[in-house]
Amino acid sequence: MIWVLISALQAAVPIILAAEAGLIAERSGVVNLALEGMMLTGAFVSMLAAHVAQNAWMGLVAGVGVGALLGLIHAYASVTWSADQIISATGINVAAAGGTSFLLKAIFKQSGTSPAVPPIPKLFSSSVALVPGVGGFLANITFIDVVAYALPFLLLWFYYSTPLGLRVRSVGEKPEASESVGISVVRVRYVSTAVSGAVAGLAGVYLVLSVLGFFQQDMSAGRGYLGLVAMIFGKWHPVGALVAAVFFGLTDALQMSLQLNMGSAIPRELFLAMPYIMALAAMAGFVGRASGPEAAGKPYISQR
Amino acid sequence: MRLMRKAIAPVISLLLALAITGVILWRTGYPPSAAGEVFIRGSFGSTLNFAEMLIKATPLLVAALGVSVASTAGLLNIGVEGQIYVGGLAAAWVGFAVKLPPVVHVTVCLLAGAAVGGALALGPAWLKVRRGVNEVITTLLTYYTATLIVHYLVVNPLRAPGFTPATPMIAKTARLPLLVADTRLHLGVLLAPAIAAALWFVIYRTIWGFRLRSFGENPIAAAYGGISSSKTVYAAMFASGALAGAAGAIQVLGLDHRFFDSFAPGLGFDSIAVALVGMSHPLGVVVSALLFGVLRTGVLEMTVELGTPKALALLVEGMAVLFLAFERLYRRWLLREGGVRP
Repeated sequence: MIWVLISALQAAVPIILAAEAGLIAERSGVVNLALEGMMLTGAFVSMLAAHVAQNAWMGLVAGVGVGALLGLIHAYASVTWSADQIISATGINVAAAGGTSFLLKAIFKQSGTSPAVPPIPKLFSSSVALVPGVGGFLANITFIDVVAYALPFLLLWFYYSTPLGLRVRSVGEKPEASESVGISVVRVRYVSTAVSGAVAGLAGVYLVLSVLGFFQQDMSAGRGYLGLVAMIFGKWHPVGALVAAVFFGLTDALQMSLQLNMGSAIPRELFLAMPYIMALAAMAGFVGRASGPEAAGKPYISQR
Repeated sequence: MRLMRKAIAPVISLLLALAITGVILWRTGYPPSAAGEVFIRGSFGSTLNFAEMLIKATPLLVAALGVSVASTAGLLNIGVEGQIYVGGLAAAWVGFAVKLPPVVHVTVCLLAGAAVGGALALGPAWLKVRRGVNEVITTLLTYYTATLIVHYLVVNPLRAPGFTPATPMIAKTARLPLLVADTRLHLGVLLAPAIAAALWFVIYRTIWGFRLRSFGENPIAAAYGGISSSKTVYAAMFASGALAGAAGAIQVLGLDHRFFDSFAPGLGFDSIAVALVGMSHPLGVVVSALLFGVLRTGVLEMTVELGTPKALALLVEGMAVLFLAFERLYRRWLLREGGVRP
């Protein structure tokens, strides 16, 4: 049982990061459906940089950087040119899926997986694995795990306790009003979307440099979208999104453990579908009407 | 002139995507000129190649029409892939499990595929109407759920003996007839543009189409005009899912004659790109489905002859869609249109 809980906490990390990334963009009024593509690109580029430099930290910087860059592209389309944010995001997602597997084949002459790259150092020395119960878990964690669980509380403080956070939220709700008191809607949305991309990139970096140690084709595997669902579940609240993401991590871990323990008694596909079915059921019943920041997804044309 | 203005963004986006792909090919060590020649030969080198291109474009066109119906009503059905899968499986099941006379059988199969595809899209429609959940998220969730369940059914209870996981072959009476001997051209190739023409008529010449378009342009104004928003959402999503289901059915009844486990991976996501590039207009979608057919067939030929990765097609598609997002930028540059200031 403790094993399930612990692996749930770890399976949740990329989903938490994606959920918070989605929240950061949407709080400023930009819907970021491109999380999936940003995560995948972040994963690929971090592998490439870590491979070339033979250094995990270079991979980290590159993966987070490329996420921020994609965020800026999304902002350029949706803020500067009032594009349909779903179109721009769909483009990024499809191009990321195609581009990463194209480059994987073109550069490494192999499809499916990349060569192994140096991983990010663990937080604790390997002797911590001897601690009974949680030792195996402690031995695996890197600073990204800590960031993922700290970020929601940091955002909670930022959005609800600082003047700047209040301004950002106002841009996501009533951009006209924000602009009338001198806040630059364009700047807030650009910065928020870039940060959102960087955090999504970090989720990809985590998969490569903290979990697997190599890049795998389509390794984001829907976690970006699942993160968005977690954000909606959490009602666009940083800690709510965290709880929802951990819940998805739990269904994932349960799925793995039930599969190990019950063998083929229950179809594997049913377990794999569990997070999605639960999400649908929750939307139908538990959460009540879902509504995000009022101006999310709507282009804003400056009145000045 | 209006048509030209509408076509500006798709044309520029495709050209930009192709140009960048050329540079990428060149930088990764594939000569772009030779690649271009092979690419063209892929679709136009022989009658057989041309037929294969049309066969690829056919399900893409029908599914993309499904995406367009939803977007005409301002909805994005991003889960078409799932509706294609359930539609294909339903058609296959009626095809092998039910005995019916020739013409009736294939018709019933097609309708079954459409009905099941449409039914799957009603879930997200209900969640949208009753709970206010964005359809983008829910269609995606139903896509994941549906494809996993279809996978389970094909690998377990519905599997025919044999090495590859697939259902039994459908009856001869359930097949879409071949049009030209020695090719794989089937009746679906004519059916798809006929559906597009019918859809154009419904959307632009009937009261239902008018309701759909008014709701898509301004739901609040449409509601004041007496158009029921919940009915419109249900109708648009059902039609959208039904067309996607029909696309899956056509693939099974015309080409594979059974449902393979991995029968059309990515077809639904491609069709979203096709619909976007076709500006969600039935006739624009016909053109863009043909272009994407050429793209897919050409890239496949390049993979066979030059060893370029198949994912190239996805990269071109993704870039084309991303560049579409900058429609206002092109208009400003080329037409000096005002409106949005950067």
